[in-house]
Amino acid sequence: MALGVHAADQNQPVRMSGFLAATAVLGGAFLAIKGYEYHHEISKGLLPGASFHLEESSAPAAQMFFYLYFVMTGIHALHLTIGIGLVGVFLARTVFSRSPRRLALAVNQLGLYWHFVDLVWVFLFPLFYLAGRSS
Amino acid sequence: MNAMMRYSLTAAGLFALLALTVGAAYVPMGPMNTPVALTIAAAKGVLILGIFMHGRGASPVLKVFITLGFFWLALMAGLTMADYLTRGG
Repeated sequence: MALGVHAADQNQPVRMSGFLAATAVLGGAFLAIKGYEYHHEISKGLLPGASFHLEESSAPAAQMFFYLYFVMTGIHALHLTIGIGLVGVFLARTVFSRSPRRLALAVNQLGLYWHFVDLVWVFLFPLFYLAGRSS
Repeated sequence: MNAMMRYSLTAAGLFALLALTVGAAYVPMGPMNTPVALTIAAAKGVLILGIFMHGRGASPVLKVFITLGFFWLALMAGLTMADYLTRGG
């Protein structure tokens, strides 16, 4: 995405489209992995609700953890989906845009959105996936 | 340094920090594990904000507003966590 923004600033629409497409593909791969993880967890009965079950540890605390886990990662996945959709819209805009300067400005905003969603993941990952590993 | 080089180095730095934080998670440090993980996350955040989001080289006024925005976000998250962590039962 950063390289796409740079290409837009340099007025290189073909390079920009390539980098944006790569961004969308990588975002899609992330969602696919996330979906696989969700499927695995739901099939093991970890989705909070009436059918929640987990033998090893205290159920209410574990249910609280998985409630937070699904809400936080779910909202992150939703924003990522929006981001991928926006990248698609911007790919289409590249074709029809007549003002490279305006497009470059818009792609800069898209980059800020994308990196902010990324920034959120940087903090979610250690909190949900790494907390309690050493104990 | 050209853009390709700069962004590739930043990405490499982010992956190195990712390896570091995963490694650190397996070192028993008691209550220090989470602060260490969050410190590494903050370092990654600085890289993303500074390089990918062009915070570095922004005008001073813009820098003040970026800092203000994230400080506010940290305040909100901090107050929420203060609630979660201090509730008994």
